[in-house]
Amino acid sequence: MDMEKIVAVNDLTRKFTAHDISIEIFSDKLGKIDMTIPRFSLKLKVVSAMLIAVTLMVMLTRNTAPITLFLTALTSGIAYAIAFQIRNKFHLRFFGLFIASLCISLIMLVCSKVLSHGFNPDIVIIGAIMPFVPGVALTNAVREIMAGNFISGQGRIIEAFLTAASVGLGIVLLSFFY
Amino acid sequence: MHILLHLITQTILAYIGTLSFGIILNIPRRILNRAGIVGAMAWLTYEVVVSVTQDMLPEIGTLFWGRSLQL
Repeated sequence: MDMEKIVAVNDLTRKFTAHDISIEIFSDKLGKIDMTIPRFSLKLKVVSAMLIAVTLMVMLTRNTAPITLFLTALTSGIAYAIAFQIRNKFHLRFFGLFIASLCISLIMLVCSKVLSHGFNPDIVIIGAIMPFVPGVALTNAVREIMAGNFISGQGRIIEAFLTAASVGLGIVLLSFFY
Repeated sequence: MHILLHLITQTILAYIGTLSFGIILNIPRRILNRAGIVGAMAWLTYEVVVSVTQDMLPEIGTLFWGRSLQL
């Protein structure tokens, strides 16, 4: 999901339909759009994923034990970096999400066996999968269906469902060994 | 006092969370702050509604179904 690209394409299309630019300039700019839009660096994105996981975990479960906060930040950062790299290198989004959530589950399994004093691995998992939940896909799906674009809305719904299914499958595969 | 502190903390956390979601979704730079404020206000509304209706819920259940309602 890249909102900056969507905004840039929308701007260009609106300019073209208002006859502000010719079709040659439109095609030229559309071809170069991948190079011209700004992107946040991977380091900043990993830090943001950690912040999302920690803040949403505190907001939803109201658990502020330091060990839980630390493990949530660590796990979600590693998982987000793995998902990002697999998505960029191999262009396999859902497989990347599956491997990332498998990694979350594996880290939690090891930590719950190694660290003896009590922390709840369920709470850490709830926090750590927060950067991967398909919130934007679901919102766009409902908005497009309400606007009457049924075909792209269905596509979004399937995307949201597949994202949720791959994250859930990755978490659940190792949950039998706790 | 305690509930006020809780609401302020939750609002700040919601602001940080929404801002971070904006960064990983790569939304345009100029609307990052506004998106954070909207997210924080939405979560504040949710928290206020939940904390107001939590005590009312059993009474509403008694009113409609004749027994108290548990969530």
